[in-house]
Amino acid sequence: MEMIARLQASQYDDSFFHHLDPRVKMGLALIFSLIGPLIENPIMLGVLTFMAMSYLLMAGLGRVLLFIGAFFVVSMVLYLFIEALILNRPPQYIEYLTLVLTMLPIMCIGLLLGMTTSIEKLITALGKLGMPAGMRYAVMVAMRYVAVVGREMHHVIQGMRVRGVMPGWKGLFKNPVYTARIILVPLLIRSFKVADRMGAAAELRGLSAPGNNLQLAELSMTADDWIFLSANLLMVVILWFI
Amino acid sequence: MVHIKLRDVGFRFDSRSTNSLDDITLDVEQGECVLLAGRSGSGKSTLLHVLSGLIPEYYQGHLQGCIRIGKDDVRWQDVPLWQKSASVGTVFQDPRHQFFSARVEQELLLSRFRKESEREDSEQQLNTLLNSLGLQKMRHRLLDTLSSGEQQRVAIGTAISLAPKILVLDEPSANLSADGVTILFQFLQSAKAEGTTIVIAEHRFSWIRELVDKLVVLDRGSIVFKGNAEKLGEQLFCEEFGLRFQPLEESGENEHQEKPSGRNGSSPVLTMNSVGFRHGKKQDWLFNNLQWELHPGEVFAVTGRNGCGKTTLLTLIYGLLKVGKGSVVFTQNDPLKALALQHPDLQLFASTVAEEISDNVAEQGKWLDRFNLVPLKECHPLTLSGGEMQRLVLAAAFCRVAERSDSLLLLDEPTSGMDGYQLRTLAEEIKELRKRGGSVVMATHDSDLIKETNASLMELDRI
Repeated sequence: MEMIARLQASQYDDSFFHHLDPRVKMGLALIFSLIGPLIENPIMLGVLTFMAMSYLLMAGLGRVLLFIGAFFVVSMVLYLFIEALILNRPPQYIEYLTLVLTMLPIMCIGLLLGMTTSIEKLITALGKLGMPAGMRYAVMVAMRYVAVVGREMHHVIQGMRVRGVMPGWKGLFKNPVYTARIILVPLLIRSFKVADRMGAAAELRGLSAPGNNLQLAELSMTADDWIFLSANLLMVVILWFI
Repeated sequence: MVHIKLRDVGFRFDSRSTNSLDDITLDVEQGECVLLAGRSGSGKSTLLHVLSGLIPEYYQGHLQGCIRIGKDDVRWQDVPLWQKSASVGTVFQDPRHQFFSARVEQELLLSRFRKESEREDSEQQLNTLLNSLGLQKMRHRLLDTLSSGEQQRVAIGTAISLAPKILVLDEPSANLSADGVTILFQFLQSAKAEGTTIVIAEHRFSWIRELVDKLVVLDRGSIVFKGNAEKLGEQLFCEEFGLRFQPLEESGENEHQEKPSGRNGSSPVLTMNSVGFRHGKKQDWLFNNLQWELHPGEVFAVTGRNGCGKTTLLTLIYGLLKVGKGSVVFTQNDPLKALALQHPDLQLFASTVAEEISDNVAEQGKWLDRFNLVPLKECHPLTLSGGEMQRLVLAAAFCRVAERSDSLLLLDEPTSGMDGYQLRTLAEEIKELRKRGGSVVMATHDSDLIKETNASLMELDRI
């Protein structure tokens, strides 16, 4: 629950990346996703990764790098385990590193987009990119729902502890069906109710009204946006050709 | 001028065999404040849904009769739902499920700025709205970090952002502290003075009675009384219709009443020594150096404004959270404790109502009967209505502490949305537990419950 609150708070911080138009960040994510896998030179991939990581640092999201680091330590352990014990061959370190360096920049830019863009700006940007209002409306409700479900999950676990039915890790392995039932059934029923109320609230506020274009924020591409996007495009193309 | 005109209105949900509303005939003048009262399940919320327009478009069923709102020549059923929001603003009991943005400012602008052309004069209108609801200081705050009272004010702000002429509120004070209720009252008072018609469904009447022009009592979907709100001061009338009774001369506070003391030289059940708690190392202390003792037979009501830490205090006593500093000491090493939290539907895990209460059949029968749950004993707990679930969670908690006399019962807002009949039943059980030597700590805003149980007050506030 705290993680969701922190994520929401980070979307409203103040940095160069928070002021960038979300369309630029989406464009950046697209460029990194399309060209990144085409770069074969590990050194050039390293430069691309460095660029993406430095953006996170500049956006004040240094902690996220720790999360990414932990993710890749775990993935490396798994990789070594698979190579040594299942495929029964010596680890291919260069192969693994290339794979990691291909994924890292895309992951970093994805996180940058998610953690520096508010719901309002994202929905407005999607509208400017031509997404129909109905779909944006669904995206908005879904994004809000993530925060709600996080809170509901916290309440379910608290309720289980109060009623003395908390199965814990042991219970999860000993009786997984029972554990799943007591967690998922209340959560599902509650989720249906919450979704029902949110749907009613949305209808009453006219969010699904015809002609409602969900312009929740004022967005326009500035010189900074164009310069940043062009510079990145140029850089990625150079890395690709080198 | 008649603003709302209902003639022989009836409604049956598609999923039910009986009518939820029957022969409702009602006229409401412009600028009038109408209070809908009645037992839980009497049809108050259904009637509000008819007025807001959710019935029959969103909650489908068979609606009959004539409904005219505002213009006399248009049937309300024929107006598209999205257009109705400009005429009727709706506020639900739980504001958390009405939000779509992350921050206060954006949420208030959401309805208003549906179109680019509506952005003109936005800043000035937003400021007026924020000032009228006392939200100016928190305009940039995240909605999830606000207290229930603050969230309720934002919900009202979203409902009135399109300047509707009618305001419909479903138990708006259920989760509000005294301060929150005062702000809500002041807001409704000024809205009424400006000519807004208000229809409000409530169980707690004391705060709104001054504003009410017309009382409408519902029972099993029909209007059984229409008239002056002074009837709420008559005990027989209130008992007949399951309403909360409060004599006119009483203010709703009971600080001056004499409390039966449980401290007859007995050692405390619980001692809090300089207890402090905060949610994170970088957060402010929610409370600090809290020194308090609870003795056998004592009933304490923990009050204070929304977000001051009432629920946190209960969870600290129960042991769900660890104190930041100081200590919580029980006289017995393993006291018999039970905690009933808010959100009853997240605390029910058994397959039947009876099993939820106890494994012991004799105990089941006793508590099913006490909380009027006998006809539902074979039902799955999660198929019950909100009020029934609340009674079930309370029954299970009482059953748990009934085993020993030196037990401790912790209740978190046990009466939100509870009618007079159920409130009196709960109060009787609390008094019974007290007689047996049990102790009760309840986090509550409900002055009716405090008065009925004759509880001592513990005012908790952020330090």
